[in-house]
Amino acid sequence: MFTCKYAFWESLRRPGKTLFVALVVALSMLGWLFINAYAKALFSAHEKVMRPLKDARIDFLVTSPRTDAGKNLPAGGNEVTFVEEKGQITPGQRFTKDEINLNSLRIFSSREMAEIAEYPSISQLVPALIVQVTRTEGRYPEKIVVEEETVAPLSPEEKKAIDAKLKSNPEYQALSGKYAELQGKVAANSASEEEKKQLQETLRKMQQIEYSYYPERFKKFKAKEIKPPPVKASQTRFVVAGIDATNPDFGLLSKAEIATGSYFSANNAAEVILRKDFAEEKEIKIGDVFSLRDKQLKVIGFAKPTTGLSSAEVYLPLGTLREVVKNEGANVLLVRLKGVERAAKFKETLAKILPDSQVVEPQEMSSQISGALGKTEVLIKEYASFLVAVIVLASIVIVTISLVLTLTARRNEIGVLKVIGWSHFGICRQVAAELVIQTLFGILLSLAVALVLLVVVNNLDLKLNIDFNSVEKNIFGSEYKTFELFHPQFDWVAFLKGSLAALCLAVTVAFLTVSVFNWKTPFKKMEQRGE
Amino acid sequence: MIKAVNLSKTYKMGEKKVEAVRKANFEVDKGEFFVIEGVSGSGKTTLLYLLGGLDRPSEGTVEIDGQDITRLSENQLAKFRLKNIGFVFQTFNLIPTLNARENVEAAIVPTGMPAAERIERAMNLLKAVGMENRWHHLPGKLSGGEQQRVAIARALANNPKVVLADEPTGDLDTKTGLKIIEMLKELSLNNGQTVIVVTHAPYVAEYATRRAKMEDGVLTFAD
Repeated sequence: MFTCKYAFWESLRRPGKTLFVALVVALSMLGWLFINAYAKALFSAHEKVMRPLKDARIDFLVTSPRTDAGKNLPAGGNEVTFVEEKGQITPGQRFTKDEINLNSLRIFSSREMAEIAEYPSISQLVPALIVQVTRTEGRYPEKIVVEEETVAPLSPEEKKAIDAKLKSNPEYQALSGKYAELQGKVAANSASEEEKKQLQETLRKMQQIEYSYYPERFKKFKAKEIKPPPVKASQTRFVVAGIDATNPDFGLLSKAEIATGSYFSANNAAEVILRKDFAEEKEIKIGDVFSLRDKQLKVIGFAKPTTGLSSAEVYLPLGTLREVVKNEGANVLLVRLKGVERAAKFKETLAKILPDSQVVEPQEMSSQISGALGKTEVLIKEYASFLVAVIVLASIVIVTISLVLTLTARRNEIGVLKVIGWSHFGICRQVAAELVIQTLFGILLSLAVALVLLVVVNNLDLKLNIDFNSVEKNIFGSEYKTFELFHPQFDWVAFLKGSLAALCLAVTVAFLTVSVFNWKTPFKKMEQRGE
Repeated sequence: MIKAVNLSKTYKMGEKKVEAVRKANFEVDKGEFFVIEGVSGSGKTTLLYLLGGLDRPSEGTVEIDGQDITRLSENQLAKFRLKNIGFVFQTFNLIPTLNARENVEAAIVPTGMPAAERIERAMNLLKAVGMENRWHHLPGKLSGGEQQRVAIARALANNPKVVLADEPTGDLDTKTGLKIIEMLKELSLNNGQTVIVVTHAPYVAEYATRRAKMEDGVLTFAD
């Protein structure tokens, strides 16, 4: 206690020296803390990129992209002209039209898929279908122009001529006879079901013959033609992935990636899983109905994909999507091999079966994407220790010089302590206590400065852009993603380690300095004068 | 009590050898108030340091209570001084960052005495030298006489057998100096402590039970 009190007052008596030592210690500590914080931030950034791709548990992702695919939509709305030929448009009614683009990736033929599946090294082959949907949404105009055309009725002469021609047609005559006979049976309630059907069929054939004798104007007749004006409609594009629901643990969306709700019940169920952010943006809830073209799908869950293999917003069971797009194929093949060592051989075989295919290896892809991060991390790891060593060494030298100067100035005081019975250890302990207090000031200073600086650094909004474009645009959908990865955080463990090391070094420096210089008495000068 | 045999100390000053103390032979008994007079540079302070184990002799031995202190290591000397020798200096040599009581405490700390007991002892010592009311003052706030009284309290902290005083009145006016000398004299009379005072002030010698004179390193006794 006395030692601490003495050391504290001594540190206050020499504020300049105390501040100097504290600053040196604080600078060293800041260097250590920032190197640690940055190394850790880079490491976690590296991990963040690597993890999803590593977790994919897929050896190959095979696609065959088309070069003419992927035209971007203009921003905002589009002028869309509707010509409704079949149904009736209700003015002011909302409409949704989904245009499905299957052209970005080539559809693999069943023969090609069968050939790949036959490869003996394949452990699992899962097909998937990825389509881009352009959704046009808007409202029909309130006023729609309807043009009506009237056709002149048949004149008596025309009717007479048609009747004459029909009577002379032997086929028509036979049909008329059959019709009269069947109608008689129906009237007498003696007709069988088969005969009733024959009656309808006979009538249809007779009408066809009659129609062929009618003038041309009747054949081109259109009762109404609706000509709605162009409407302002908004267009959005999203990616829909059809996934094999029979493989819930393997593929573009696994069961583990469902954030809320459930996974598909069957491969042809009228169910849909939406990416969580997409659902939030569209304000869709679980249980709502999501339509794709005319297919009504029940929203059963929200997904948070972690593998990074697909950036689809909408997931459907493969069978359901095939039904919607009226295509039984697959344009993405997910392959798991029996052993990684067979990868090179498999790639060779694949190149023969599908010469135009593109193979993505998640492991390789992860290395490509995070390569720069990995290098930086290694750089930090390799050079940080050297840098820290230089900083610490420089600090030790500076603090030692400062201590020597101070002790020289306090030579008399140290001598007095010896005279009144203080041992060498006692003096070392006293000097060490003083240095420990000054080091503690430095540690506290570094803590305050580091916390403030890290807040400033993190407010600079540093981000890392990872270019996915070079990897596979069609699979990832977006051209590149921005991850908010780089957030150096205060590392309390590093701080405690650094503090402990600084305090240990302070004690060591104090003991060594006092021992090496070993001030004996305060009276050297007097002795030299020979008093 | 104290026995010096052929005690010599030689310094080298450049090429020149300076004999600060030349073959001093003397004994000082318990309770004596022994005064060594001499002008500045006569070697009296060197002799005092040799007696206190602050310096090593070039030749000869110093025995205190039968213990040859010239054979002790630095740490053994520190322990020996702690129990047996108290020092009083001309320039007081108080620690500037510690108050009067803490300065006295500093001399008790190495004994490992518990804090409460140590503080009580320090206060008693300050009371003995009439400084109990000024215990919380830093040395810079005390007069020369007051500082010397604190220094005496510190010298007596561990109840030493020997008190060595180097020009204790050197930085004091005569009146204050006299008070200090009387205080030291009382120590030898009341506690039976041996006091050796080195001085060039003539009035100090009047209190001595025995006197010696130092001239060019040679110690001579008055009678």
